[in-house]
Amino acid sequence: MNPTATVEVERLAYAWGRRRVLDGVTFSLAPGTTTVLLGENGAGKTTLLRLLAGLLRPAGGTVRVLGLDPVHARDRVNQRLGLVPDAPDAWGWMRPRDLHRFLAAHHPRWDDARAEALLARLRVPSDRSFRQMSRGEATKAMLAATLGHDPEVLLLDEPFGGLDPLAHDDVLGAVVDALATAPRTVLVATHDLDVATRLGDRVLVLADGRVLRDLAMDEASSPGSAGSRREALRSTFAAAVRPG
Amino acid sequence: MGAFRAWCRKELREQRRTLLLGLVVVALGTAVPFVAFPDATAPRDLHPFPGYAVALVGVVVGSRLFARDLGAAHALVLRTPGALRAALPAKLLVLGLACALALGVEEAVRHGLSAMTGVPDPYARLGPAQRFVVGLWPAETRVPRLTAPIELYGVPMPIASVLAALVATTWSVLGSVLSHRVPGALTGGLLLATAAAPFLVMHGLEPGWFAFPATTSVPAIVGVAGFALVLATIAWRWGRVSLHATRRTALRVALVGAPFVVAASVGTASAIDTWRTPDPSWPDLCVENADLGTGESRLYLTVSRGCSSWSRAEEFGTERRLPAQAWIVRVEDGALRDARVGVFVRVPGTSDEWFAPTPWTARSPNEQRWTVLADDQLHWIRGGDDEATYVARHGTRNAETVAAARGVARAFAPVRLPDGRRVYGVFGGVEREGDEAPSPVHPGALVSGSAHVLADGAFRVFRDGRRYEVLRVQVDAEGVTEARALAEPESDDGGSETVWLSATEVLWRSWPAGADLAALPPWERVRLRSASAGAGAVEQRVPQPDLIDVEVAKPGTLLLHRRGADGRRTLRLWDLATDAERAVDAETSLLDGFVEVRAHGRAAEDAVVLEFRPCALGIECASSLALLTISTGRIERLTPPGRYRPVALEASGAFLVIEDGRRVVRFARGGTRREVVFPRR
Repeated sequence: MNPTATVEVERLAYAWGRRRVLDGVTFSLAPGTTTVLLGENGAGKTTLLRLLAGLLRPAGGTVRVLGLDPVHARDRVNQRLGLVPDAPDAWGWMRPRDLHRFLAAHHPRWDDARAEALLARLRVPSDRSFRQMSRGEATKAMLAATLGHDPEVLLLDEPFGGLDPLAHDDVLGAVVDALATAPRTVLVATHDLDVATRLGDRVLVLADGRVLRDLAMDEASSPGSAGSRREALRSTFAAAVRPG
Repeated sequence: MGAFRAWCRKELREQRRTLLLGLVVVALGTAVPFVAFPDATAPRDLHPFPGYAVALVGVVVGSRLFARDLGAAHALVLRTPGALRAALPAKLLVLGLACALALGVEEAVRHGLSAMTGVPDPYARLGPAQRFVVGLWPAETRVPRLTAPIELYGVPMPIASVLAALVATTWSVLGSVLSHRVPGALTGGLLLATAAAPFLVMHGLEPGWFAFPATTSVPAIVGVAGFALVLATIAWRWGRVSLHATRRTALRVALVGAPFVVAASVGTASAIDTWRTPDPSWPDLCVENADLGTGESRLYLTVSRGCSSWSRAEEFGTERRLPAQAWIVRVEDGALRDARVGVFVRVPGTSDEWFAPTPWTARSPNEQRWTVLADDQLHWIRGGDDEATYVARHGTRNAETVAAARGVARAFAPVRLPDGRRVYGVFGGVEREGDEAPSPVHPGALVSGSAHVLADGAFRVFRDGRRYEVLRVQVDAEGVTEARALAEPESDDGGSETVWLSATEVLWRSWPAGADLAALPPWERVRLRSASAGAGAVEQRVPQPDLIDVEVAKPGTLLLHRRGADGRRTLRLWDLATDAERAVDAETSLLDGFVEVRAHGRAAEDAVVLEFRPCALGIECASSLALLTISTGRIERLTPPGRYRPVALEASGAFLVIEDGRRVVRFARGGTRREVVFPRR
């Protein structure tokens, strides 16, 4: 175990029914780093993030977030952790402000001004309910809501999927700002390799239920003969999940 | 804003449409019988409505409340610190609020439409506790206890409760398995707990309500409640850590809970069966009450296993009993059957007049028997073929039941006009035989179930459940021409007795609530009031310095129970018309207890004297019966000393009594021969 790690995962296992999705995942995240989680569809990225947030109980192995077991100390972990889900899951009738009011009642460190400023910066329409928002608008609203309590650990589950280019840039900008304003440990599950190379300090490649690659971004995306960092990262990813 | 408030706000916001829709449906549903079937709606039909209202809104809102977040299907809830903790109380509060609103809307609509249409509101006179407790169940539970067996859609309530538990469990398990989520299980558990709660409350309030013997009722109830608790706890516990509860989770919940339901169901079902079969051989069979039908061919018995009556507790050693049953016994051979009406209850106003000229002691070609089910209802059994008919006694009946209700009222009316026609109270008014229409002069809102024809046109009227008035109702060939109060309305908390003595005088005894009757000065207890004067008239107090008690031997003649200077007790007859007083037979000096007199139904010159002695719990128990012939002042003992309750005086002169609360016994005149009529060996 690494006592200085913000997130520490050892031999983590989880199964959906008979299908073993994660089987011996081991890695750790150092404080203040941004790690990109790559993996094919169905590799278990979302499952891993939910396990880190304490939403699922591991079938085996251990998870420590901020030194705590996220299952047994889920409330304490989630006071300092934020998760932006792959699909916005706020109640459909809520407007962003309703969601903020609800979250403010539960998060001791909630900062309403920060959340409102983020909403404005991301140009989220405040008079629309989540049901009436587009996918991009809802994702931006969820990001603002997640950053409202200034989490030390930020988990982003495919936050850029399905966004138009402008919304994509808005979200990316907000994440970058969030990283700049406070030291955060971030784990981003994404298929967007451009984003990965721009945000990440490290890359984890998840396949066959395990972490097959754990590389520094510079190492994973070294241009070499591939021509660009993006292409280099793609080659690294492909080599990991489809060897030969 | 705290987490609890945030959740309340959220749930109210989410459920408002469903709740509003549910309340509208409740209001419309409640209005249907009043608007669409005003002539066919009886109070009995309205009994289930509060239950329907709660069930509808509770289930619709409840399933939405509990099926969404608490099963951990919602990741936002799980990753919001403290959200699950605050969610449960907030959801329960909103559910309670929704149910309360449903009850309120149903109550308001029913009450309002009742006032508009005239269809009586069956709950108008019930106390808050009764309304609340029984309102949770769509059943006949609002009818007072001593009535028909509590049924839910024709299924006896104890069986219905088991069925309800099984249905809820099945629903819960199936819902869980099909949805792969815990919410179904959790909702089922909560519904089960909700279902068990009224039973627990009612059981606490009224231990005899259920057909569960004492030995099995506790395990049964604990089983049902325990199952609900375990189910909810497990679902809650596992729901917290599993975003996607699996089929295995649901099955685990079901498997843990199933034994509780099975235990509760088996125990309950076996307990029910033991008492649903009419069997006179039960060792703890208690004859609570008995009446002899006209024609003397049938006994109408109210029986139970174990006695709840205080006076019987001495013999049975318990005040606990199973719900009563009404049995009809053929006097000739003891054959019996369950009348399935709960108990036989005498019509109000006649309950103390064991030997009064009522239809079941007077000979009549239409042998019949009545049982009061509620204030406005009678259960009418024709003696000839025992066919049962429900009769509702208010003005919106069909022709058949209206005629039947009039028949009942006529039969109970001793008041006759000079031309021989009877006068009676029915449908909240006064009618004359042969002229069946409400009188143009209405004596006020007579509560027909409680109106009591005392004598020549005087009605004792209960205005509501707590107060009564005595009205002098003048009736002539034109109908009711006058209705005048004879006394200020009094609270029924105390006690009173009113007997019409003559055309101008009424004997009026009253005492405040909790008063020790024996300690009251005698002159406080006998008063003469002029019937020609109105309310508030000065009463004439009759000094009776050595009076222990007074009874009315017959109209115009009082039986005075005096204590002589030598300490001996004597009975004396006082003729109010002549003011003459004479002693009763010297044998009365043998009487050493409280004496009560009832008018004899057939011979105006006779009265039945009951001798009482102290028994259990400081109350008096009848220990012997005697017949007082007023004209001669002679007393004839009818029974040897024992524990009796009078039933009837047969045409042969033999007396039927309940002996020791266990059997009906016939004593031949003179007490020379004793024969057990029920149960036959």
